[in-house]
Amino acid sequence: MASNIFLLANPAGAAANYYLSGPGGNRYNGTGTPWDTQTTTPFRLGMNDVTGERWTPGRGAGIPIFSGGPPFASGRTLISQTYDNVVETLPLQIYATSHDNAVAAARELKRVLKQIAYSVPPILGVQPNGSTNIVYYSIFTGDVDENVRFINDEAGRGLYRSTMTLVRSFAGGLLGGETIVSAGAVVNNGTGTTTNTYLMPTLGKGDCIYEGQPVNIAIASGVSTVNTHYLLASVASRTYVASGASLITSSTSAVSATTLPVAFTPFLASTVKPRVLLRIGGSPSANLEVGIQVYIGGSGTNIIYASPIRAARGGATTPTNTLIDLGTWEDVLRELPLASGNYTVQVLVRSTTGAATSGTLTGIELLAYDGICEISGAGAQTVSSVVTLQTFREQGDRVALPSRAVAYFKDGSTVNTALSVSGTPPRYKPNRRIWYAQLTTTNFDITPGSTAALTITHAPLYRTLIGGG
Amino acid sequence: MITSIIYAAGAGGIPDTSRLLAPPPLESYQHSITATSGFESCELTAHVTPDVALYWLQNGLMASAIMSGPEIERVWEGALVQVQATFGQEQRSVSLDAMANRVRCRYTTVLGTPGTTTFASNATSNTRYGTKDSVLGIGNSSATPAAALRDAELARRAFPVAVPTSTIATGDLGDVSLTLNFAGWYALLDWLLTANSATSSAVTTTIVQNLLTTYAAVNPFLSTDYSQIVASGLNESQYIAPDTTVRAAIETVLGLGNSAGQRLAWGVYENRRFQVAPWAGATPTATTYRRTLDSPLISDVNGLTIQPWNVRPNAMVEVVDLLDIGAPATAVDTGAQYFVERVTCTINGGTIGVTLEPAAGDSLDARLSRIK
Repeated sequence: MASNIFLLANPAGAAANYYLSGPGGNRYNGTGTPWDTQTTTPFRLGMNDVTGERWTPGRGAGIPIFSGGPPFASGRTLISQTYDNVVETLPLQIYATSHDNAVAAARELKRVLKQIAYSVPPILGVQPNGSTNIVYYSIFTGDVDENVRFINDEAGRGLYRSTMTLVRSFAGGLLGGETIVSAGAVVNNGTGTTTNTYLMPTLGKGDCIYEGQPVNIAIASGVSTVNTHYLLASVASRTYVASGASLITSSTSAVSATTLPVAFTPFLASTVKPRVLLRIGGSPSANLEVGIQVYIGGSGTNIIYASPIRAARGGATTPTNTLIDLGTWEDVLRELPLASGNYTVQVLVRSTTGAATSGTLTGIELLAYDGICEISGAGAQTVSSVVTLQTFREQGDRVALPSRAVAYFKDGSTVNTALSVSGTPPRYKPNRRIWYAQLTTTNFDITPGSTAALTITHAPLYRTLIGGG
Repeated sequence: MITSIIYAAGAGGIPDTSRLLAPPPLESYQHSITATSGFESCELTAHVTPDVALYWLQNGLMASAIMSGPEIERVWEGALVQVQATFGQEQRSVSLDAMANRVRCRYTTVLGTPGTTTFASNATSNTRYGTKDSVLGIGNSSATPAAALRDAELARRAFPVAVPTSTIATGDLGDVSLTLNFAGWYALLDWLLTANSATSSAVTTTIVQNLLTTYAAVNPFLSTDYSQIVASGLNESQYIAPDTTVRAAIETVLGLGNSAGQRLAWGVYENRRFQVAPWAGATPTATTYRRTLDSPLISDVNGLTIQPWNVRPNAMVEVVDLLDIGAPATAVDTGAQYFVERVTCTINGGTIGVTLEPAAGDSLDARLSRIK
């Protein structure tokens, strides 16, 4: 099989291919669209000393940000790494029956390469000989520059040697996402270890699974409620420690309600971070505030984290249950040669008024997570409402690549409401679960036992070639 | 890394979450927070199309913004007070700084009798942006010309002032870029004038709450949750001279400190709540932040890394490698530690970091930055 290398354009909704990897010698006579078939296309990648070097898709340059280092220390610390667009050149030969026809054929490519200014970005498709699949790249701009020989030494021969320059996406992908979870059931307010989570399947696709590949998540909550917002996270594990401790106090200073040991083993061999959420039942009163202190080993010493003190509920109406997010901390334990051990999580309570509070600590959720985000502003919803978090554009005429996280709300109709997204959206990584919680904005009330359906689509990313996928 | 959530302004400039705006793709981010204002300033820059830049110039002012970190932590909040766009050699800027949509004029007659006109307002501007006061003065005049001056000034300043510049020159024309300048909600306490003829005394933090309540009756920008105002225990006269801004009145009483003789720190922080607390310098040995010279990171006293965007002022910072010897126990600023008055977080293509400034924040750089 010869290599398939082509531009995919989509003018006015009709797909069109421009095969660049022809056999050579098919001369464009000014009629038809012979470039839409590999065997008849007048375009051929040059790959010779005259037209240009052999070409293979390049990778997006990594842009690491380091800090620290000399003169204070040897070596620098990696703070972050992202990637930039790819600028590359392809040597291209165009065969035609005349000068004018050669120029006309080149014009077709020049137009397509600027298509982003008209409709959708054109796409570069690459399927080398022997590759099972095609990898697609999104083209932001490009051009075709003829070699000087065209109007000089090789004038009149109908051979248009040129250089095609592309500025394209940092990675390749597929056209559209792949559904990896369809209506997976997740129970809100589950008290077991893996409830409130859904294990993403093991996928062999993509070069960026350890950095994280984008996922879109549609949540059909299946309940009728108002002013809902959502927390979504990708977690390595979720630990639930049941309690039942009373959260009654009249103290206006934070006092201890209970202490619970939580293993820190999940964090020792991974980059995941800990996050604590309190599940509070017993209709928490308006004057109840909660927080945590986290210790290494026993409580009272070696405090490593003190959370903000937060209201145990919001709004005037007393909720039955609430879920209070108390944040994360940068875990020093991963720098220590430990094999196992526990955190001690001390739950603090405070009365804002001096009157006795009410509430019960149902339990503590400890997430070992990569990224967590909050989607807000959903408003009233019915049993058929769907909230969708989108981190890649999922359209068949575009390459599925990371984009700005947006969320929208659909209530069984075609009208969508844009929702705000804050934090770090979940991404696909091996052995990660999607953790999900649904709250009412004003009451932080969770709907116990409700079952939501998650549909997850995934966009694998390829630094250069795709091969088998 | 930083998510900017920007909502279009509600009626009267009130923060409103009903219409989410699409933020421009950030190229650089900077915010500042001080111990006597809370969230102070925030600047976003991006390259955009001319249409996008024009949209923000025409519609952006008084949009409310919430900057969120990667762990959903609230990093900064405020209102869009200035939009700057560069279209090659053309620059356009609209700002609320010089706007005044409620104006009155004080005058003195030739006989030395003082008088004041009533307020004149531009209802359209009030509805769009909220109310922003200005007072003029004129001597040897009377009510009618004073009112005329008032009306002329109102007509001139009722709406945001544009500051265009055009350069016609050879060379690179440049590109299209957008800069959004946000101010913390505290800065908008400058917008209203107040006065109080009462000379009886009250606790200074109670005076502040009263001022905030009065302010909210006209411009409900801030939260009315005052639970984060720690009582100062210090009494002061409630008298406020005429034409004093609410902000100045607040700073006058809070600047007295508390009954323990300690300075106070204050400002508007998360969820637009006003906070007052004793300054961290009251307990200078209670370190909040630490760093070592060989590390690009800042940590808390337990060694946990604090991300640059989460660093706050009103804190004691210590450089562990610099050992203080013989410093007085109650000294706030020493060789190894100092009180953090102001923090500036900067994120761009080559930098992710935070700058901490001491209480000597009357440096020229700091003052210029606040003006900007």
